[in-house]
Amino acid sequence: MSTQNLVETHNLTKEYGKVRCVDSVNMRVAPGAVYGFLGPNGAGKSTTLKMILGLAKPTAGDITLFGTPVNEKNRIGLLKQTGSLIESPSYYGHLTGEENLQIIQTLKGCSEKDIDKVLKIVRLDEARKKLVNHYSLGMKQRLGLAAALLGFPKLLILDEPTNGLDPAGIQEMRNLIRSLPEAYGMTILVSSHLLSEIDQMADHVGIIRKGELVYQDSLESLHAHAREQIALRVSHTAIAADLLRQNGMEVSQEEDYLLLPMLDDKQVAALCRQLISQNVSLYRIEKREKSLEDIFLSLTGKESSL
Amino acid sequence: MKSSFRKAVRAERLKLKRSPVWLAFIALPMISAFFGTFNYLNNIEILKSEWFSLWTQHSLFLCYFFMPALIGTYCSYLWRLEHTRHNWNSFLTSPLPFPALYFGKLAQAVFMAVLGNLWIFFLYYICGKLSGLNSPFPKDAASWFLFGTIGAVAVCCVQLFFSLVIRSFAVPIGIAMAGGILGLWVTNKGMGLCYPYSLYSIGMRANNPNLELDIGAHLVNSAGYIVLFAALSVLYLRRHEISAN
Amino acid sequence: MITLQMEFKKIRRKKIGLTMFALLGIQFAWLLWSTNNPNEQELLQGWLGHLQSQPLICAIMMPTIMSVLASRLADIEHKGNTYKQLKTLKTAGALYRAKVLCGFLFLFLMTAANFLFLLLLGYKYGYVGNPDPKAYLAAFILQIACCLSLYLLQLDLSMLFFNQMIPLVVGLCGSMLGVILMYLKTYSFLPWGGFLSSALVMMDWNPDTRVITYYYRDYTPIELFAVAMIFVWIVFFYTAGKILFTRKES
Repeated sequence: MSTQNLVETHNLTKEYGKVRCVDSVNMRVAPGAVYGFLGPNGAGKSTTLKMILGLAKPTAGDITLFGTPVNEKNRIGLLKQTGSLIESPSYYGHLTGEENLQIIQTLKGCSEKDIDKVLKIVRLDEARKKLVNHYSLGMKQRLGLAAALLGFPKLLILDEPTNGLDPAGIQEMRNLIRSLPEAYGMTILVSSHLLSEIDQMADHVGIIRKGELVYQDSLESLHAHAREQIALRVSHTAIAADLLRQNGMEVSQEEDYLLLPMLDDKQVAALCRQLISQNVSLYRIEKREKSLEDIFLSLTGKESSL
Repeated sequence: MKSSFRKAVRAERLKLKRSPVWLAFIALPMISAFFGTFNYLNNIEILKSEWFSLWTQHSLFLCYFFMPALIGTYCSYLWRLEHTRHNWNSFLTSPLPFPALYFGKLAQAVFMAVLGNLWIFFLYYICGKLSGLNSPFPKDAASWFLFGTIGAVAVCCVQLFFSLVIRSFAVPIGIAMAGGILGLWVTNKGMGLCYPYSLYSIGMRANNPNLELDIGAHLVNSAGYIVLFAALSVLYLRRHEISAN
Repeated sequence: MITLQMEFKKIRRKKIGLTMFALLGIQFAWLLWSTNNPNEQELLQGWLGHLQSQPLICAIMMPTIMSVLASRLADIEHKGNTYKQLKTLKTAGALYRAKVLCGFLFLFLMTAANFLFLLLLGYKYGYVGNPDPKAYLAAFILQIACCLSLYLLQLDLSMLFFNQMIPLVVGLCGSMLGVILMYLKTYSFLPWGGFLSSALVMMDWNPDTRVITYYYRDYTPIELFAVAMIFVWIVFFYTAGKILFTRKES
């Protein structure tokens, strides 16, 4: 079983004129993963994905796909194993959904039967003979996904696939994407600016901000950082903090609250008794959860490291 | 290599489904032929060279102005399919070599140009017969068709390049029309064979059926323009980071 | 007014002016070529001669040039897929007016440049006498009117169809018609015959003496009607455009 990364970038950088859109990104996507590429709008997600697909040329750094360097020579071989949906779904409006897929199928050289399969997967079977000009945005998005799925490539790159979909459509798309690695052995690289979306779809996450990759790990680890905490507001903060630290607890302070790792009821009771015995009055005891949003914001909003 | 060219051509043909653009190639030569014949019959006392005179009436405006503009329109349409609806991303990530992708477009343009030319000559024959011309159909017409088509391929390559690099649909058509008109002036100055648009009109012997064509120069120059503009187009596809917007 | 400003913002960097004046340049080149090295006869009648040839050149080139202009202006919305948004802003009528005005400004400037060139050319060659100001003014206005009627037709078509092939082929057919009508008649009720109908000066060629004489056309009632038709077409295409566009379901 190969542990080699499916997608690897080394110091990938892209400058447009003087503006550095992507800055020394070292992305690692493991085989079979659903890698969520997360970042606010304009962070460099689309640009990075374009470089991976060869639609844009890196200013510096390199990219390896399936262990092969991404360059002009390997372009065709790599593209044959990759399906993509970048920026907006592309389509020829004057043709039907089926005809659009026939074009992709011809170019990719895959079997015509694949068209039936992918239409079923994205549930566009009923609308296959309808002109794409008459499709809703959600249908166009699904058609774009169907086109990317043709040939059942090893790597699927999806740029904001749920853009413009209604909640039901988003749910559907999410479930679909989640099912692909197991059902077809695909690796998915999906980008989004919505944390909630990545949270529900991916198992790995890379967070990009102003062109820099500020976090890259499994989603579990990210959740681990979003731990529950106990928050205390007391009369003598410094004394209380010392006391707690002497007990071997990790204490941090946020404004006039002391933050402790999560404790069970017995521990909380013991803590309170201890503080009171030292003449420290307790004003507030709260259960706090540092939300994923907060982590995301702290990573993308201000300087921070985990 | 060959299979990728075949795939590209097939894909392009699929894209042109439900695009009745070929109607223009039917209509314009018909209007021109009808009017040309009418003009011929009206001036038959002056136009004494029968088939050759008829050809001068059919070909002048068509070959110098309208066919280049029509070819330009078609080439613009071929690239417009990719210029719109974010199709560049999909086009450039097709697992085919860039020359094949280009060739797919060129094949469609040339196919249409050949059909257009065939239609022009068919109309010429019919109109001649309907005008009561009993002398045999000029054998030279085969040469006009051949070199006209070769010249048309050169125009296709030039126009495909302009339509590729200029995102607007209409501007390359303006260029084609201007190019065709300038071709009249260039031909007049005797430099027609150096200029792509007039390679078409001279090849067709437009307005000048008695012309002794310098075949070598025509072939070499046509090949030159074809190779040059095809290479430029492929280079552009390869190098340029085309934003889908 | 704001919509007009918006329109200009949209076309910035689209080099429409460049395109238009390049096409105008071709017209100038043609004019230059056809009037080069005037002989004595031509110098005597030069000012009249301009008024005879100008409408004919326009008849061939303007239908296509106007189709390119209209296509450029309409295509901005097709490409950006903005027709939907703009319509919901209840400014559909204002948008149409803005495009009409914008195009009109271009064609006005082009016609002005055109006539300036005619004047400069005439003085450079040393045409005898001076141009008749009333005739030239009338010709100027009529050329603008003809161009406007064609522009409006093309704008309507370009906004109606996403596939710009249709309006551009109409433009090419219009140019072809321009050539044909030139040979057949001295007036026409069709929009593409406007230039022909509004040609103030006619040419007479005597095959025996080989002398060309220019003279002012003596308009018959039906020819005057044909000139009036140009303005009817302007109103018709403008109204049709307003209705079509404010009613169109994208």
